[in-house]
Amino acid sequence: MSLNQPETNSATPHEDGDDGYVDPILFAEGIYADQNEYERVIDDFAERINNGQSTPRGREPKLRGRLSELLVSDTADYVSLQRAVSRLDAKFRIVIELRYLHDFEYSEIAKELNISPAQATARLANAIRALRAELASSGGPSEPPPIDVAQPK
Amino acid sequence: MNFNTTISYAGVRYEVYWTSQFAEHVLDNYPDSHHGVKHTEIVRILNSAGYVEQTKKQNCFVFASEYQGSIYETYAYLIPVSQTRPAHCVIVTCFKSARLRNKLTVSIAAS
Repeated sequence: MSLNQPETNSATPHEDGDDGYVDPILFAEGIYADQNEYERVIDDFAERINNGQSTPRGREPKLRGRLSELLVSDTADYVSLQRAVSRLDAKFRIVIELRYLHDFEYSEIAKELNISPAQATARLANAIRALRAELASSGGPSEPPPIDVAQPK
Repeated sequence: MNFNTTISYAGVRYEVYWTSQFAEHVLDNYPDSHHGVKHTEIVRILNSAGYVEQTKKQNCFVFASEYQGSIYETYAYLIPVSQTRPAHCVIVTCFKSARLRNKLTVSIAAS
Protein backbone atom coordinates (compact mmCIF):
# COMPACT_ATOMS: atom_id res chain seq x y z
CA MET A 1 0.00 0.00 0.00
CA SER A 2 1.35 3.36 -0.90
CA LEU A 3 0.11 6.16 1.28
CA ASN A 4 2.01 8.74 -0.67
CA GLN A 5 0.55 7.92 -4.02
CA PRO A 6 -2.97 6.68 -3.56
CA GLU A 7 -4.36 4.86 -6.48
CA THR A 8 -7.29 6.34 -8.31
CA ASN A 9 -10.59 4.56 -8.46
CA SER A 10 -12.05 4.68 -11.89
CA ALA A 11 -15.18 2.67 -11.24
CA THR A 12 -18.49 4.22 -10.40
CA PRO A 13 -20.15 3.39 -7.10
CA HIS A 14 -23.44 1.60 -7.07
CA GLU A 15 -25.87 3.97 -5.48
CA ASP A 16 -28.49 2.40 -3.31
CA GLY A 17 -31.14 5.02 -2.88
CA ASP A 18 -30.71 8.50 -1.51
CA ASP A 19 -29.70 7.49 1.97
CA GLY A 20 -25.95 7.57 1.42
CA TYR A 21 -25.48 3.81 1.26
CA VAL A 22 -23.05 2.71 -1.43
CA ASP A 23 -21.26 -0.37 -2.62
CA PRO A 24 -17.56 0.30 -2.18
CA ILE A 25 -14.75 0.35 -4.66
CA LEU A 26 -11.97 -1.39 -2.78
CA PHE A 27 -10.25 -3.15 -5.60
CA ALA A 28 -7.61 -0.49 -6.16
CA GLU A 29 -6.24 -1.29 -2.71
CA GLY A 30 -6.05 -4.98 -3.51
CA ILE A 31 -8.28 -5.84 -0.59
CA TYR A 32 -10.66 -7.61 -2.92
CA ALA A 33 -9.98 -8.96 -6.38
CA ASP A 34 -13.34 -7.91 -7.77
CA GLN A 35 -16.93 -7.12 -6.91
CA ASN A 36 -17.84 -10.81 -6.65
CA GLU A 37 -15.17 -11.42 -4.04
CA TYR A 38 -16.31 -8.40 -2.07
CA GLU A 39 -19.90 -9.60 -2.07
CA ARG A 40 -18.90 -13.13 -1.09
CA VAL A 41 -16.73 -11.99 1.82
CA ILE A 42 -19.30 -9.52 3.15
CA ASP A 43 -22.13 -12.03 2.79
CA ASP A 44 -20.09 -14.62 4.72
CA PHE A 45 -19.21 -12.02 7.35
CA ALA A 46 -22.88 -11.07 7.77
CA GLU A 47 -23.91 -14.71 7.96
CA ARG A 48 -21.36 -15.43 10.69
CA ILE A 49 -22.61 -12.41 12.66
CA ASN A 50 -26.23 -13.49 12.20
CA ASN A 51 -25.42 -17.03 13.33
CA GLY A 52 -23.40 -15.92 16.32
CA GLN A 53 -20.24 -17.45 14.85
CA SER A 54 -18.33 -14.20 14.70
CA THR A 55 -16.82 -12.99 17.96
CA PRO A 56 -18.18 -9.64 19.07
CA ARG A 57 -15.50 -7.01 19.44
CA GLY A 58 -14.53 -6.49 23.04
CA ARG A 59 -14.95 -10.12 24.00
CA GLU A 60 -11.89 -12.14 24.93
CA PRO A 61 -9.80 -12.03 21.77
CA LYS A 62 -7.74 -14.86 20.41
CA LEU A 63 -4.47 -12.99 20.69
CA ARG A 64 -5.07 -12.10 24.32
CA GLY A 65 -5.34 -15.79 25.07
CA ARG A 66 -1.92 -16.26 23.57
CA LEU A 67 -0.42 -13.68 25.89
CA SER A 68 -2.19 -15.35 28.78
CA GLU A 69 0.00 -18.38 28.19
CA LEU A 70 2.58 -16.45 30.16
CA LEU A 71 0.46 -16.48 33.30
CA VAL A 72 -2.34 -18.04 35.22
CA SER A 73 -5.26 -16.82 33.17
CA ASP A 74 -7.60 -14.89 35.39
CA THR A 75 -8.44 -11.27 34.75
CA ALA A 76 -6.36 -9.79 37.55
CA ASP A 77 -3.32 -11.70 36.44
CA TYR A 78 -3.78 -10.56 32.89
CA VAL A 79 -3.98 -6.92 33.94
CA SER A 80 -0.79 -7.33 35.97
CA LEU A 81 0.83 -8.96 32.99
CA GLN A 82 -0.14 -6.14 30.66
CA ARG A 83 1.25 -3.58 33.09
CA ALA A 84 4.46 -5.53 33.50
CA VAL A 85 4.88 -5.81 29.74
CA SER A 86 4.36 -2.08 29.36
CA ARG A 87 7.16 -1.43 31.87
CA LEU A 88 9.72 -3.56 30.06
CA ASP A 89 12.53 -2.08 28.04
CA ALA A 90 11.39 -1.40 24.50
CA LYS A 91 13.54 -4.13 22.97
CA PHE A 92 12.00 -6.72 25.29
CA ARG A 93 8.46 -5.34 25.07
CA ILE A 94 8.53 -5.50 21.28
CA VAL A 95 9.51 -9.17 21.11
CA ILE A 96 6.92 -10.10 23.73
CA GLU A 97 4.19 -8.22 21.85
CA LEU A 98 5.20 -9.58 18.48
CA ARG A 99 5.29 -13.14 19.75
CA TYR A 100 2.39 -13.23 22.20
CA LEU A 101 0.02 -10.58 20.88
CA HIS A 102 0.64 -10.70 17.17
CA ASP A 103 1.55 -14.37 17.02
CA PHE A 104 4.68 -13.83 14.96
CA GLU A 105 6.97 -16.75 14.22
CA TYR A 106 10.59 -16.42 15.29
CA SER A 107 11.61 -15.94 11.70
CA GLU A 108 9.07 -13.13 11.36
CA ILE A 109 10.31 -11.46 14.54
CA ALA A 110 13.86 -11.73 13.24
CA LYS A 111 12.87 -10.16 9.96
CA GLU A 112 10.88 -7.38 11.62
CA LEU A 113 13.71 -6.49 13.98
CA ASN A 114 16.45 -7.11 11.45
CA ILE A 115 18.20 -9.67 13.62
CA SER A 116 18.97 -13.35 13.17
CA PRO A 117 16.42 -16.00 14.20
CA ALA A 118 18.82 -17.16 16.91
CA GLN A 119 19.02 -13.63 18.27
CA ALA A 120 15.24 -13.41 18.20
CA THR A 121 14.98 -16.59 20.22
CA ALA A 122 17.56 -15.39 22.72
CA ARG A 123 15.95 -11.99 23.02
CA LEU A 124 12.55 -13.54 23.66
CA ALA A 125 14.02 -15.74 26.39
CA ASN A 126 15.65 -12.69 27.96
CA ALA A 127 12.40 -10.76 27.64
CA ILE A 128 10.48 -13.48 29.46
CA ARG A 129 13.15 -13.47 32.17
CA ALA A 130 12.82 -9.70 32.47
CA LEU A 131 9.04 -10.02 32.57
CA ARG A 132 9.23 -12.50 35.42
CA ALA A 133 11.53 -10.17 37.31
CA GLU A 134 9.18 -7.28 36.67
CA LEU A 135 6.21 -9.27 37.90
CA ALA A 136 8.09 -10.41 40.99
CA SER A 137 9.21 -6.88 41.85
CA SER A 138 5.69 -5.51 41.45
CA GLY A 139 4.21 -8.15 43.73
CA GLY A 140 2.30 -9.60 40.85
CA PRO A 141 1.05 -13.10 40.36
CA SER A 142 3.06 -16.13 41.19
CA GLU A 143 5.87 -17.45 39.07
CA PRO A 144 4.65 -18.01 35.57
CA PRO A 145 4.87 -21.48 34.14
CA PRO A 146 7.91 -22.36 32.08
CA ILE A 147 7.69 -21.08 28.56
CA ASP A 148 8.60 -23.21 25.64
CA VAL A 149 11.00 -21.10 23.64
CA ALA A 150 11.49 -23.22 20.60
CA GLN A 151 14.58 -23.13 18.52
CA PRO A 152 14.04 -21.41 15.18
CA LYS A 153 13.66 -23.70 12.23
CA MET B 1 1.75 14.20 12.10
CA ASN B 2 -1.04 14.35 14.63
CA PHE B 3 -1.59 11.51 17.04
CA ASN B 4 -5.34 11.49 17.10
CA THR B 5 -6.58 8.60 19.20
CA THR B 6 -6.28 4.88 19.63
CA ILE B 7 -8.46 1.95 18.78
CA SER B 8 -8.27 -1.34 20.58
CA TYR B 9 -8.42 -4.78 19.04
CA ALA B 10 -7.43 -8.15 20.43
CA GLY B 11 -5.90 -6.61 23.51
CA VAL B 12 -3.65 -4.30 21.51
CA ARG B 13 -4.01 -0.55 21.31
CA TYR B 14 -3.33 0.83 17.86
CA GLU B 15 -2.52 4.50 17.52
CA VAL B 16 -4.41 6.46 14.90
CA TYR B 17 -2.60 9.34 13.24
CA TRP B 18 -4.13 11.95 11.02
CA THR B 19 -2.06 13.80 8.51
CA SER B 20 -3.23 15.69 5.49
CA GLN B 21 -1.53 13.02 3.42
CA PHE B 22 -3.43 10.23 5.11
CA ALA B 23 -6.64 12.22 4.93
CA GLU B 24 -6.23 12.68 1.19
CA HIS B 25 -5.57 9.00 0.88
CA VAL B 26 -8.79 8.23 2.68
CA LEU B 27 -10.74 10.65 0.53
CA ASP B 28 -9.27 9.26 -2.66
CA ASN B 29 -10.61 5.87 -1.75
CA TYR B 30 -14.16 7.02 -1.25
CA PRO B 31 -16.22 6.12 -4.26
CA ASP B 32 -18.73 8.85 -3.53
CA SER B 33 -17.69 12.29 -2.41
CA HIS B 34 -21.17 12.71 -0.93
CA HIS B 35 -20.74 9.80 1.47
CA GLY B 36 -20.95 12.23 4.35
CA VAL B 37 -18.43 10.43 6.59
CA LYS B 38 -16.02 12.90 8.14
CA HIS B 39 -12.62 11.85 9.40
CA THR B 40 -13.56 12.73 12.92
CA GLU B 41 -16.49 10.39 12.64
CA ILE B 42 -14.46 7.47 11.34
CA VAL B 43 -12.76 6.83 14.66
CA ARG B 44 -16.10 6.95 16.43
CA ILE B 45 -17.45 4.52 13.88
CA LEU B 46 -14.43 2.25 14.39
CA ASN B 47 -14.80 2.36 18.15
CA SER B 48 -18.46 1.51 17.88
CA ALA B 49 -17.69 -1.48 15.67
CA GLY B 50 -19.43 -4.55 17.00
CA TYR B 51 -17.55 -7.01 14.83
CA VAL B 52 -14.17 -7.17 13.16
CA GLU B 53 -12.80 -9.65 10.68
CA GLN B 54 -9.43 -10.03 9.04
CA THR B 55 -9.42 -9.81 5.26
CA LYS B 56 -7.16 -11.89 3.09
CA LYS B 57 -4.77 -8.96 2.85
CA GLN B 58 -2.17 -8.96 5.57
CA ASN B 59 -2.98 -6.76 8.56
CA CYS B 60 -6.12 -5.46 6.86
CA PHE B 61 -9.37 -5.74 8.80
CA VAL B 62 -12.98 -4.96 8.02
CA PHE B 63 -15.00 -3.44 10.85
CA ALA B 64 -18.79 -3.66 10.94
CA SER B 65 -20.37 -0.80 12.86
CA GLU B 66 -23.79 0.42 13.75
CA TYR B 67 -23.45 4.13 14.27
CA GLN B 68 -26.25 6.62 14.66
CA GLY B 69 -28.71 4.21 13.13
CA SER B 70 -26.62 3.40 10.05
CA ILE B 71 -24.49 0.38 9.17
CA TYR B 72 -20.88 1.09 8.21
CA GLU B 73 -17.97 -0.87 6.83
CA THR B 74 -14.53 0.45 7.65
CA TYR B 75 -11.29 -0.96 6.27
CA ALA B 76 -8.14 -0.37 8.24
CA TYR B 77 -4.65 -1.77 8.49
CA LEU B 78 -3.73 -2.71 12.07
CA ILE B 79 0.04 -2.72 11.96
CA PRO B 80 1.95 -4.40 14.79
CA VAL B 81 4.58 -2.67 16.87
CA SER B 82 8.00 -2.40 15.26
CA GLN B 83 11.35 -0.98 16.23
CA THR B 84 10.51 2.32 14.63
CA ARG B 85 6.78 2.73 15.30
CA PRO B 86 4.21 1.74 17.88
CA ALA B 87 1.28 -0.40 16.86
CA HIS B 88 -0.76 1.83 14.64
CA CYS B 89 -3.88 1.95 12.52
CA VAL B 90 -4.08 3.20 8.95
CA ILE B 91 -7.63 3.70 7.79
CA VAL B 92 -8.31 2.90 4.16
CA THR B 93 -11.94 3.78 3.79
CA CYS B 94 -15.24 4.02 5.63
CA PHE B 95 -18.70 4.02 4.12
CA LYS B 96 -22.33 3.21 4.75
CA SER B 97 -22.66 -0.39 3.67
CA ALA B 98 -25.71 -1.29 1.65
CA ARG B 99 -24.65 -4.91 1.51
CA LEU B 100 -24.19 -5.36 5.25
CA ARG B 101 -27.41 -3.51 5.97
CA ASN B 102 -29.32 -5.83 3.67
CA LYS B 103 -27.72 -9.03 4.97
CA LEU B 104 -27.66 -8.48 8.70
CA THR B 105 -30.61 -9.73 10.71
CA VAL B 106 -29.18 -8.95 14.16
CA SER B 107 -28.01 -5.78 15.85
CA ILE B 108 -24.29 -5.16 15.59
CA ALA B 109 -24.16 -2.28 18.03
CA ALA B 110 -21.08 -2.59 20.25
CA SER B 111 -21.96 -3.77 23.73
